[in-house]
Parts: sequence; structure tokens; C-alpha cells
Amino acid sequence: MAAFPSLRPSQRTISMGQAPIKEYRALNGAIVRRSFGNKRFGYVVELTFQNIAEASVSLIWDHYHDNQNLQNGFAIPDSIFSGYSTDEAIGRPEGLISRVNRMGNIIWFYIEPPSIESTERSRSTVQVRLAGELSYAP
Amino acid sequence: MINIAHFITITPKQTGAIERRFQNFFYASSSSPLIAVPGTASPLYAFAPFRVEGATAQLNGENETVQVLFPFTTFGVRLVEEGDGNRLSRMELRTVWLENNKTTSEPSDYLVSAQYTDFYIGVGASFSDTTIELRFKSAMDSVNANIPALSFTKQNTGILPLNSDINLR
Repeated sequence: MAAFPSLRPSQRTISMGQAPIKEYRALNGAIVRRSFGNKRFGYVVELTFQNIAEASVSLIWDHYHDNQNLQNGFAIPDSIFSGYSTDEAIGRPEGLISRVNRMGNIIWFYIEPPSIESTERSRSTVQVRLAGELSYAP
Repeated sequence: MINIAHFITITPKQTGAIERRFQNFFYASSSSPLIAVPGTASPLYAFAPFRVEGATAQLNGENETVQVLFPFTTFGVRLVEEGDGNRLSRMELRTVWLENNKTTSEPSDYLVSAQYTDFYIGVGASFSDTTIELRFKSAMDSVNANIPALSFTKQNTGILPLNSDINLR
């Protein structure tokens, strides 16, 4: 399992994970919710790397083509959340990286193959969508 | 909000076979650590991402079918092979209702508000590309109209089997 390349995205969207809850809705609209697990799953991070150099594109290409990463998932480096901080860095329990990228039970997977758009000579815009899931390996 | 967990104990039919215990609520990335039903110390159950489907009761009291779905992994295949295709293995199914009034989700944060225990006998298994399905039926069948005097004896049924395959003599 190799971590995702240490690149800094130019755009980033983070969606929090969902809880393992099923919902019954009556005809009058009332709902009853039941939970079937104690951890959230399905976090989504959408990344855009605009006009990055060919060498950086190749890093993403190679990472995606590593079978181990597709089968077993991978970690993502803190550089992906560049602009946010860790609790330790700011000395207060407010760092978002300490929350998003310190969930010990979450493994990241590609939701879909990354796309590469050529913008100029040796420059490309790459879009990557990653899902943070609860992986199970008995 | 009610949290619903299943704790199962599967015992293959073979003499000396290892009893397997699994729960599907408290997540772990592998089969360890082991946890007990909240509020108890033992037995201990390993996490496995299975689901239980099927009827648990019926008006006529007939044998109920319950399917336990495991992911298609080497571990799941081993489970079926050890149980000789899940034939006549025994399963104890504990459906546990858990309450949690805390902000965190550790096993110690939950309290058991109710639990129901059912017993089943394995009747086979099937495979798909992603799942392994273990099929079970309830261990006891209802007394039907064609059983004389509404009672079982060795004379009219022979040795009582563990499933519902009773032949009148």
C-alpha cells in the first residue's frame, strides 16, 4: 500500500462519511431510524490538480496503476489537505487535518479512474475522486 | 436511536469442530480485537461484515429459513468448507438492541436494552461473485395435523433428527 502522491490540489471538496443507518418512513411522513454499526463510512474527497507538470501527472498515473493500491486501498498525505492544520501545529484542538486524515479505520480507494486534461505543452489538469471506506481484511 | 447488532455462534457438525463467533456491529479492520456483548465479559466475538436476512417467526410455526450473508473471501470459503457445506451445522443467533446516549461509539458506550436468541440448523450454502450465503432453518418444526396424537415417539418417527425431516412409520 503506497500513499497517494504528496501533491497539493488547487481545488478540493470533502464530504463527510455517512452513518450505517436505515430509515423507515411511514405514510404520514414519520420516520424511525435504526443503526447497524458504530463507525461512519463513505467519506469522499474530490481533488483537482490544475496545470501540473508532467512528472506530477506521472506520479498519479503510476499510483493508480499499482494493483496493490486498487485492491487494498491507500493512505493520503497531509499535503492533500494543504491549508488546514493539525492540532499539534496550532496548539489547539481545532485542526481539521487531525480529524479528516487521522481516522485510523478509514482506507482510501479510487471512486473512478482519474481524468487527465491537457492544458498546454507538458501541463495537465487532473481530477481525482477518492472514497474513504471501512476496509475489512480477515 | 436503537442500534441493532447480531452476534452469531456457528458450530460445524463434525466432532471436535471449532466453534466460530462473529458480530457485525462493532467495526474492526480484521478479525481482532474480540469483543463481548456489552455488559458481559464472555464469550468473545470477532467482527465479520455479515448480514442476517429472513423470517424469525411464522404463525404456523413451520421451519423458518434464515440466510447469513458473508463477503466472498478466503475466510468465508473456509467457513463453508469446515462446516461441510454448512450441512447440519448449528447456529445461535443473538439479536441485540443497543442504546447509546454518549457522543462516542466505543463498545463500552453501549448498553443492551433487549436481546433475542434463536437457534438454527444449517441446510446448505451458496456462492455468488461477491457473497457466500449460509442457509439455516429453525431447529424445531411445528406439530402438524398428520402427526398422530400430536406427539412424537420413537415408534412413529424413529430417532428424532435435528432438522424437520421427520418420516412417519
